[in-house]
Amino acid sequence: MRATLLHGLAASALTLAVYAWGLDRVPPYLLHDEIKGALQSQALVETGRDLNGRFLPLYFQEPGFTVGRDPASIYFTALVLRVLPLSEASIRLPSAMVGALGVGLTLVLARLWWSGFVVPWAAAATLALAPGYFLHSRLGHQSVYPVPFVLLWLIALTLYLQRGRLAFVYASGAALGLGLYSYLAAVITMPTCLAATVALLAHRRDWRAVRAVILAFGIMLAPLGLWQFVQPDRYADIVASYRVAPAAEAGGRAALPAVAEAIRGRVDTYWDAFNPGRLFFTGESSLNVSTREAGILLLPVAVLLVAGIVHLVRARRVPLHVLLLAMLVLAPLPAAVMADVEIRRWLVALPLAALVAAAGVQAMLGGSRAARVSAACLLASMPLLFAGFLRDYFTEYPARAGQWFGGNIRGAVTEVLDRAEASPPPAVYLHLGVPYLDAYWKFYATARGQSALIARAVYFGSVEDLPPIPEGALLITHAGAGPASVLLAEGWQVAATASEPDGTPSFAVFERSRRP
Amino acid sequence: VTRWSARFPGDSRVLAVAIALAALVAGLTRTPPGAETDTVFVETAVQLARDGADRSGRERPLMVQGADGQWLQPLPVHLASAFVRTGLEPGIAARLVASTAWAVSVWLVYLVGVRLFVKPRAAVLAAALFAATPAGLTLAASGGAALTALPPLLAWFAAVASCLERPRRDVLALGAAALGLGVYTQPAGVLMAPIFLTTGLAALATRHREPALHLSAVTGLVVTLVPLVVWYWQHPGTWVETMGRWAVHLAHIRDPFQGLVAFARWDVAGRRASDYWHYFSPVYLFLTGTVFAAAVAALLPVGLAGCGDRMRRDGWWLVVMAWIAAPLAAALLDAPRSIALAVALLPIGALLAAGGVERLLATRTSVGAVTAWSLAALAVVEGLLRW
Repeated sequence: MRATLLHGLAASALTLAVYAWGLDRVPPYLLHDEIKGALQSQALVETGRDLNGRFLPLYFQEPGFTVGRDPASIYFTALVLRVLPLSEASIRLPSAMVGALGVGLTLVLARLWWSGFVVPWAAAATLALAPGYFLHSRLGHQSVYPVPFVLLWLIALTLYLQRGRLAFVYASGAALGLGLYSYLAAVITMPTCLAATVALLAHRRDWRAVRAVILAFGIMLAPLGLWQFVQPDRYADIVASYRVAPAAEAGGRAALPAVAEAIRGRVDTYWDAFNPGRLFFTGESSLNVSTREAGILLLPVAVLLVAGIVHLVRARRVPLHVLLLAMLVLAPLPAAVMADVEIRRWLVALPLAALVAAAGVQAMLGGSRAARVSAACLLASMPLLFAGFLRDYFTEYPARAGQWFGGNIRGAVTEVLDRAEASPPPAVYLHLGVPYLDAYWKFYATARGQSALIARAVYFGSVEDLPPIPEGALLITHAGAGPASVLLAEGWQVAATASEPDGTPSFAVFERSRRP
Repeated sequence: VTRWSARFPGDSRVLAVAIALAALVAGLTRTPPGAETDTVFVETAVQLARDGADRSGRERPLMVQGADGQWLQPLPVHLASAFVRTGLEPGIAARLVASTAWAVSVWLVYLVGVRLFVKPRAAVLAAALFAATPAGLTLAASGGAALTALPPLLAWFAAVASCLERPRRDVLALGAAALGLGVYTQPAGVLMAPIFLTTGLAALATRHREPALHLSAVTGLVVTLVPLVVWYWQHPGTWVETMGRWAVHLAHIRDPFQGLVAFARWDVAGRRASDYWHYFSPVYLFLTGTVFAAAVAALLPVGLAGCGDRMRRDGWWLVVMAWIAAPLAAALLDAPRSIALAVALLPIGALLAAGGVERLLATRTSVGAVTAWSLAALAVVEGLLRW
């Protein structure tokens, strides 16, 4: 077991070296979700309270998102921010670490299932080299957080089936229970895993283990239950925000067609989740989590997956193999329920797919000479394809993706922060027409140690509504848009422009002209 | 129910003919919702009947320039034109072509089923399920060329299925020649010919690998393409707008490497993979009511999973491979969710669904039998309701 853990550690370290590379440069800008989560973590580090003043809360509520951010990523980021200063790289590093941990755990699990070197490392490599997994692990977002919990569950379950110690069943149930706090989609994923575990154990008539796994899961639910008791509207908010029950909204005679339409939509979403075009060629449509030059998984994995599925179906007497296939099939359930196919909601499918692909490698390596050569070629091609993906990711992708990340708000904000230290300190006006500009202002002011400036900003909705402004005041708005022409006509002048990597100006910093 | 199942049907051939005739009548007499007359097809047939020439002025053209300037394949439009010359109303003439193709296909599905299934009742069921497909009803009533690709395809399947038992070069060559005629029916027919030739020969190779047998099939197909070669020799200018659209662009003949590059472009491959995948979407196939009846959603997977038990082993490969290949031509033509181009899904889906009924009946339980017959009846009733 020690050797297995060392292998896992090595895989995690190798992965982290790649995943954490250049986090301050790519993705090009911070998403507002990353910033809001980071501000919660920073508040936790500084005060032990969230932005609403709650002491160590379970969920982190915000205006417009009353469901609240899940605690795992906020608390883990806070831990990292106790060591590292707040920056773009430091708030993304926790996700990269969790992604790397997922790769290490995949290797540990694969070594518990298969002997030898090649097959377990093939599983880890398949996951580590999956563009979709890489991209999600480099965002300061929760989507990758359920992965380690699902892998810990499988590891514990495997150990129980191999060694028979009930403690492992408790551990598997606890992993699933804790996983509930990792990401909103886990509310569907983890109970599905639990149901699959119960089915597997019940099939073995191991009722003691069934009770144990349910008990452990239930204990981990206690904080959630208490939070629900304190915040009774949370469940209703979740249902409302994801439009899970359109029929109820439709009501009356319209309910039945609404239900039929909802079912059609969700079945279509589920089917689309396995769309090979998305999985192996182009990835997601959003450039936030895709380069559009590579699939969610590398193309050779398609062949390994087919070989793995055939192999596992033939060997279906192995309970864990059945469980693996079942979970792979059920993985897109959160996407289907929420009628949103994006893989971020079912990222746990990727390590499962990696394990199935590893089974394919094992089958091919144990097959004919042609199959062995094919497996070798497929495995060898994966690092090459990933290298091509990385080259594009670090060179051309930032320019393509800039607008998807909200544009170069950072450039405008840091420009104002640079000028705001002048004496006398200028007034700062921020246009609410720039999405989440307030959050960006708070983040960069805090990150640059200029927290005192946060309160100095005045927010306005329209340039026409601006009060009389003192000379020398600074203002951020869109470049080249309507507000800019109004400001120029009213005597403001462009002090600086924040441009995209391709040179397109996106935001402008205006300065109120001083009288000569 | 199980005893009744064992006796059903009395004379399967009579029943199959009756179903085919019912399909013909259904296609001619009613217009289901969603069926719109293919006006370009009708106008082109009228022009051919009136002038003896198409829009380009060519008399008795092999490739026909339609009334809107687009090119049509010759078989269906010439047939419709012949019906118009007999005095039939043009709309009816067009529907007669589509409905006849459909009725012949129903009979051919039965013929393929007889060779694939252990029991003739499954063949009759396959024919009935095919005749009740909403897409078949709609396409027959629309009077376009879509369904005319099916008889050539099913004749080829019948030949392959027959040769699995007793290989005969002449039968296989004739079957392949029939498949070649599909090239002259509708746009997807051009790509369907090589795709299904490969599919059929691959299924055949599971039992018979004699090169002469396979060569006879290739020869049969090639012979039917001779008129095409002559046509393009005489009218090279028509290539780009016909085969250049339906199969291979002229530039790619001159430079196959560029053709390969264009074909394998990453985004194009991704788009085609998506198109292909969406053809198998359960929503598209079963829940929109435009392709199969909803009950087939339950029967088809059962048939797919277990038709190996109920069909002769090599026949199972033929059907499964054909199902996988069915939307390939449409996906390669960059046409998402177009049942007119992926029309091969219909008969193969019906065969698989019939295989599903057989598998449920093979459980020899009342529950299995009741479920099987209920689902089959529901599928047929849904088709009738749409009609």
